[in-house]
Amino acid sequence: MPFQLLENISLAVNGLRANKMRALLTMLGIIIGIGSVITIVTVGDAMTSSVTTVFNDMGANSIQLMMVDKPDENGNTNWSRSYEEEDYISDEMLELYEERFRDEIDCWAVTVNAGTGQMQVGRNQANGYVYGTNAGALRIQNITPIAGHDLNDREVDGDKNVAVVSKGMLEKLMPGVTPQQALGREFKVQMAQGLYTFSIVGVYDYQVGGMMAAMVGDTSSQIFIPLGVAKQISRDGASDPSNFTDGYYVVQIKAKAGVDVEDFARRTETFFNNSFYRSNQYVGVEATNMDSIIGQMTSVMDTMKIAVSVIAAISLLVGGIGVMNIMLVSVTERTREIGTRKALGARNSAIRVQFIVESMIICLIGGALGVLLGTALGVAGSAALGAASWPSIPVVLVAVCFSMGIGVFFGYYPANKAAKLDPIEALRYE
Amino acid sequence: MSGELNQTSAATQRRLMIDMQGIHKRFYIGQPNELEILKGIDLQVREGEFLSIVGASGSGKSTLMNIIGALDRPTEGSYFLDGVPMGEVPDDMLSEIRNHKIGFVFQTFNLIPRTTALSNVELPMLYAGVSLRERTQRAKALLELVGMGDRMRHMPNELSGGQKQRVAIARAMANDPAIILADEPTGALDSQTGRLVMDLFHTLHRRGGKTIVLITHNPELAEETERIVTISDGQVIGERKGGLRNAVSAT
Repeated sequence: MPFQLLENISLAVNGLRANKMRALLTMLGIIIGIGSVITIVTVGDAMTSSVTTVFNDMGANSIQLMMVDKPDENGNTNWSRSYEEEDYISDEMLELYEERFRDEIDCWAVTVNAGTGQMQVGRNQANGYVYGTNAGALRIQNITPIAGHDLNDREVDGDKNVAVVSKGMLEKLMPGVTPQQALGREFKVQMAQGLYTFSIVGVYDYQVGGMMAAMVGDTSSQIFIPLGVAKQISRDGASDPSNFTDGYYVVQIKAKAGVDVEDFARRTETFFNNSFYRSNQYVGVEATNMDSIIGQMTSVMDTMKIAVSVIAAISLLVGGIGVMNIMLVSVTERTREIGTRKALGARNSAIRVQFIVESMIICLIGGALGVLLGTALGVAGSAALGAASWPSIPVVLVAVCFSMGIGVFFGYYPANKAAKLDPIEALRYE
Repeated sequence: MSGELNQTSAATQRRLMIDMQGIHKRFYIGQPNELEILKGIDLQVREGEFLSIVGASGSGKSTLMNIIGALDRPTEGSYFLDGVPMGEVPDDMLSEIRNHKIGFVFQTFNLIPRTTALSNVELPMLYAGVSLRERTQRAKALLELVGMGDRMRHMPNELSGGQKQRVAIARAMANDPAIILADEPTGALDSQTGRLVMDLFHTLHRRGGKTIVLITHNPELAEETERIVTISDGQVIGERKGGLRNAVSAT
């Protein structure tokens, strides 16, 4: 075998075992560097994929239309001003909009938060949020009933006391009752404004865990009721009814399949601003499509990856210098051994290879430990974000190869120094 | 093993193992402090000879040993080692010559630490590219020969000085070198173990027909060899027969 590779490897391993603490400290930079790369890539991939999935679920075709403050001529925004009725997006605006873009709009959703309440059936209770929505609104939020139906036009327009509840809520309120059996049953909601009764028309099962739950809210504790009913409840509670608005701060719009969403978002924004907000000096609207939000998040993630990669690269550089340092120490310590080996007939190249292999082994073990550390942190981190995932194999391979490369690069100088030692001087070295 | 060595001994054509003519070694050449350590050494050592080189420290005997051992090149003069001219040879060729023609035995043993006795003996064969099976076999035979067969798996730090030196001697013989070059081999040993090591050299010489060059400042040890060459101030100032001469002729 050329260069006695196996002997060199066992020699290097023996050397490291004789100096475990030193070897570990030497490897630390490599371990941290490789570990952080693996961690961030794993967690980053998990985040990107879970964010993408959730936003795709929410509808890649959907547009969010939201009120924005217009800056004054000095570029400042008046934060202390409270919104007036004419600032909100109104039902009239939405009707005109729907008429104008009938061919492109699939549906749109508005949500009114009526507040929190305690749901009751007999002695069973559960706390939750009460939202009013228009017909078809749940479709945009990707909430699909597993029994019954989404709120329909008849129920919404007729302001019926009906509700769509989650499977989780149902289990708390009516243990042992199947979603199908629950349809038509009534429950009470105790809110600050009073006690209301609703009958169940639909049951949905939509749960997002982990990070996404924190971002979009845990929908399992939400109940959805007709928009008008929710508005009435809000109005009941308002101490000054003039504070109450019929308009909306945000509207979600879903475009029909095949519509260029980005362009549609732009045209929607222009339509609203030109038709309704031209004379409003404080407020306008802005339309964003989910694709651009996904794009933004992906680019944030990529930036984060680059930042951590730079830190990791610095750590690896420092680690590599540490390896070089310890190899120089090792060469000095083993000067006599090197002299002996040369006297016994080792060529310069054999000595060089011996020390490069040793440096590679240090870095390889460091890299392997780093991969283990990174895997542990990556799996834990991605699990905490609700999308447990393993590091990808190519990333691990690149990390291991890269750490070996560091070994060769930073081991070359000390190895060359060893190879060039004069055997007479080396044998005489005390 | 010993049969092979005996064969060499039997075919004693008395060819020249070391042939040195007018060897000079100078340091700091061309500088004001230029130093001439060897001032024209002539030295011939024949196959199967047991020779000692004696001299006080600073006499140049270490420098001479380095040149004999192919660790260094002479500044001037010709040196043939087992018929191979040792002039302007490149480093790698010097390595190869050391590997095949020289067996070093050092005062401080110089066993490779954290490496078993067996692996230490295998090392020169490893550098010579001998296969694993062959070198293990031969290393075991050599360790048996020096009486270290039962400690082959021991690490150097688990061996006594005398044991280390015996392993070192086995290692020196690994590639069946033209000469064994022993630099004060008993210098770090007490007189009793030193005696054992010297006896081992005598055995290798008498029974194995090895050519041995012993470098020492101990006149008693030198007296045991066939021929004593005395070096002083970089020159050979005396050469005489030692006590062993007759014993070897009688063999």
